[in-house]
Amino acid sequence: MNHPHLSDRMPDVARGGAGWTAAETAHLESCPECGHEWQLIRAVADSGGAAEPLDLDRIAAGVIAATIGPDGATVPIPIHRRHWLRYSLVGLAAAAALVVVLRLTSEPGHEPGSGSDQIAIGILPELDQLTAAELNGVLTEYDDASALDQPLGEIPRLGELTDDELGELLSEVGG
Amino acid sequence: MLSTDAELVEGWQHGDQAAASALVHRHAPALARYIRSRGVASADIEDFVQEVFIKAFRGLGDWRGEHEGSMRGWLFRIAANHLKDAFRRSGRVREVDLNDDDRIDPTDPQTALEARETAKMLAERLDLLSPMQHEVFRLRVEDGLAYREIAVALETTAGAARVHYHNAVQRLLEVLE
Repeated sequence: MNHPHLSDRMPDVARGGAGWTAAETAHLESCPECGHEWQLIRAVADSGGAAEPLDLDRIAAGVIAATIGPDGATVPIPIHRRHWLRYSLVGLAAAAALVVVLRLTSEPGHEPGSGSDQIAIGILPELDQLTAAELNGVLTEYDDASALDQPLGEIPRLGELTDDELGELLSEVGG
Repeated sequence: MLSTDAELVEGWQHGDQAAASALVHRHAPALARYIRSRGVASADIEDFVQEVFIKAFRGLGDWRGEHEGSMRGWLFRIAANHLKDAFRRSGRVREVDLNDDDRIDPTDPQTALEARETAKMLAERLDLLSPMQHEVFRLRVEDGLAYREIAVALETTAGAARVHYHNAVQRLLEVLE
């Protein structure tokens, strides 16, 4: 493929959605490789046959009738989508709880392990890409609650959080 | 100025039936061509298209309309899954319309014969591609989808779709030589 730009445009031109410039036409006639490719694309595009005649108004009416509720409103989000939203919120809450941006104290004579000690948590993985089990595994690694100003307390299994428990966790994280 | 897919979806979600109808009018013809090319009988095309849109409209919460072109790709993805389910239920690998002649001009038998032979030859060559190359190539050339739309339809990236397309072209040119 010597001319990717030409190659990319061939399907659109073959379907009649675009045209060749004079220079492009001349090139297709003189370049064997591009010419063969153009013949192939044109043949495949032409093999599709005529467009299907459709009664678009009938299709649209049927779709609208099937997806409109008794009160005229659109059908609400399916149940499986609500579960996805819940897990997303749980993941975000866990991320908020973990991403405690701390600063290292730079005071002279600072003793490690003192009550005012703060730990810089390094770059955490993108928590929203972790599954609930993986998030739980990350959370269990932070079992040294004394290193934090406010202990997080017992971390429940994320997948078992109810909406009320989630609300409590969000409140706790929010401080 | 024509409304974008995102604007039409928002309109429909607020109860604007004209917006819903506009979406159907905009994308149904391309869906019908795709479904037809994948072996659904002509008599079943309209019902099939309608079922795809019903699934799509019921799952609009799953559509990420962050960029234009994704609606068509998303519809094609739903159609592909619906095709698999339909063929699985019918117990067939691919539903073949034995009356393929309705796509060829019956008043010109010689051209009809040549067209049928060309289509047969092309179908055999396309079968030599990997499944992903096959699908990307057909979506690009037969169905006219842009790379970003193919990416949504096949749950890949536009860049990967472009690579698959060009690899498919090279493979086809090799076997045709």
